[in-house]
Amino acid sequence: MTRTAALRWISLGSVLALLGIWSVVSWLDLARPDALPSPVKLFRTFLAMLDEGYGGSSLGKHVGMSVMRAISGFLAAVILGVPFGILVGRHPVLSAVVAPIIGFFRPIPPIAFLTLFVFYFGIGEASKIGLIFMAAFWYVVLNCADGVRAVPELLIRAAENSGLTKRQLFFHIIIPASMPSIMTALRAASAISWTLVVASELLGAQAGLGFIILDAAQYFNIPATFIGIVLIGTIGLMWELALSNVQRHVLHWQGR
Amino acid sequence: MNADLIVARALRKVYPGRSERDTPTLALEEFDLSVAEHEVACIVGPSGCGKTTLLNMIAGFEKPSGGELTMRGRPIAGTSPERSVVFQQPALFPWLNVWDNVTLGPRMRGVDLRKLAATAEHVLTSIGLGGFKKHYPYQLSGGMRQRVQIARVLIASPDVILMDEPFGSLDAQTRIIMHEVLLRLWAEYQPTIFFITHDVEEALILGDHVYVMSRRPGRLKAKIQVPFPRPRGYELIGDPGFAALRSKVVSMLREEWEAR
Repeated sequence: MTRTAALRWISLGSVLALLGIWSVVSWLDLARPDALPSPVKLFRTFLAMLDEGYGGSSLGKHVGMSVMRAISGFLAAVILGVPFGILVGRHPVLSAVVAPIIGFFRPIPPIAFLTLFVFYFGIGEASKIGLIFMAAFWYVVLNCADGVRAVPELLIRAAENSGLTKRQLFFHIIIPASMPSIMTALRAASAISWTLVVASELLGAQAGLGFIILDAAQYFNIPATFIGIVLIGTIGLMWELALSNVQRHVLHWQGR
Repeated sequence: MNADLIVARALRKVYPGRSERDTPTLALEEFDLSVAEHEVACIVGPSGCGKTTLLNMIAGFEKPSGGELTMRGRPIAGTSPERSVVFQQPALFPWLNVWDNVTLGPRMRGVDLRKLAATAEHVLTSIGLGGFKKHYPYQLSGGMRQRVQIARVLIASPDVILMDEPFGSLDAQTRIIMHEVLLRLWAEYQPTIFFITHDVEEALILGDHVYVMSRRPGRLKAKIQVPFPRPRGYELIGDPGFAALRSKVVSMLREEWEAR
């Protein structure tokens, strides 16, 4: 067995162990069952929610709404942020313009803008997607700009020496050489988007995984709250795995 | 001897300090040099004497601060594939395989692909990379990466190949192999080679002339003809004439060291 395969089995084992400890804790009544439902009870709740939906919408709709919001914000951040970040990385003047603005907004938790966004853009989708977009956008811009600045001078000289024009240098050297940073930016942005979708659904959403969590907790429906949390975790994990596969594929030349 | 290809007259290079209070660094001053067509010119000198500065100016990466630097009588302005560089570090594009690395320049210049493929095939085979066309740089050893750089340069059929201590980071055995590869390629293509090294032995095995530079600011201290006939091989090292020439160059360099 290769080392990677062995490590994968260890990861699977740690998940099973966690489930095992959780089951044991429930069986032995170490925690109040209404505070920590057993895995079996949760699974039953999950089946029931699949059947009946939650709060008037099917579970699929809740998942779909959250995923749609996260992906919309994420894609907008990537489509606008990657080119903008590359420009910022290439042009010191633009970088000087943008740096203080990013520097000011970056330490502020995006949630701090939630109420303002609702005030500006209403209670619908715009405020939610807008919040996700804003938080992810700056990450993408910063990472891409850093990546472009970090392209080794040696490679640029080698390319110029081979007779590449400025335009060819940009598209055939700068962009591929920045790909590792661009991929890092995409992964960070996707994590941020998924994290923020829950927060954005805390205000005025009628559907979505964040809505389930908030609504269920208000009615002390702890199993449903857990289902919401587990779904968020599972989907986030799958998304992350998919992206890291894309990354490995795109950056195969790094030999990792 | 053939006509002069590269000529430097009273060449001067000053690097300004980082701030106005910093003293500027004088890298080269009153530097004269002439390299003939098809010559292998080896430059030796104490470290920091401006060898790389000189190469960077010939390559067109940096501009002279004064004096003249010409190729075939025309001032050198900017970088060009006719003066192709083999860098000290293997400057390969890690996202391209060997084939694409070697052919990138000509492809971008729109060279006919069929002609290019034939040339690339020939160059890669003659440098011993025929079986590695699909390999990526991370899959290659240090010596093979330098071969890829040399292949990339050869395919541009440059007037002059500029080499900045290209084998400096390789182990001793790989270096010997690379010297043999280079000698063989020179016999086949007869390019002009401008070769910077700090290794006197390397300079004497490869060069037609060894140009000894003074300590900074670099001037040309001596141009020494290397009389050994080609084709050369490593048995040359045992030759008494080789040993004598070697100690002559080494003592010139030592003078520069001790004068510091």
